[in-house]
Amino acid sequence: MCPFITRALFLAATLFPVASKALEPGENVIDFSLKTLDGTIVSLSTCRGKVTYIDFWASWCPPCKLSIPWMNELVRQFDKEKFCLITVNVDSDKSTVTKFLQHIPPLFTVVLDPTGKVAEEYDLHSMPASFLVNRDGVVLERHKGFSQEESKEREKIIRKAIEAQ
Amino acid sequence: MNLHTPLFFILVVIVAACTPVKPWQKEHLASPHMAFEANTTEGKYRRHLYESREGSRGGYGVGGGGCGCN
Repeated sequence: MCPFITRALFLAATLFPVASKALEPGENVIDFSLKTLDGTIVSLSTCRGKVTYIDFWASWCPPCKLSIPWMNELVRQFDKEKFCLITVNVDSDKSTVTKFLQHIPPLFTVVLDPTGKVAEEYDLHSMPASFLVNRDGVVLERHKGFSQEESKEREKIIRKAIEAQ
Repeated sequence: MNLHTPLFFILVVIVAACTPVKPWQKEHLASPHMAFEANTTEGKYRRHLYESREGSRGGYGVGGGGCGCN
């Protein structure tokens, strides 16, 4: 083959990165074990048997800050025996998270993913990003971003998942 | 000496090093130091004047607070 064509193909290959496999509705959720702020290791599998809402957020992300009071409201609203809410923070510095949460104390579990390893496995397309998982560990919905306008609709979806047989 | 081959491989290394920033990696992009304008208050007034004069808006900045969130 002509050297020019060979080089052009080789160069083209470097321009197109290998697409990572995103976690889509219908697939089984990916388990993870991460530390909380006080060093306790928490696994996603502790939420097994419950409808689970997994949220990835960061203190530097303005829409994420808006979502925290809403998630606190979800915890108040839904029965803990049927609904589990776990959030994954991706800040690189733990002290930033501690300081941030002093202003808005969470009612839910916060685990830390400072290296972004779990974020990479979940192949997030936005910040914040959330996943709604049913009792069997199957992803029902993946959601990008947060807005107050969508929050009521999302509560309905969560309620429907909890009430589903 | 044929310079095409080493130049080609240098180009490949440069191109391969260009990777998009993942959403969870945008911490530093969200920093106020990374804002396009030094004075955000002045920037707001300038944009307002421009929008009023031109009758249109948008085409500047990054959404979601500088990190492109949402």
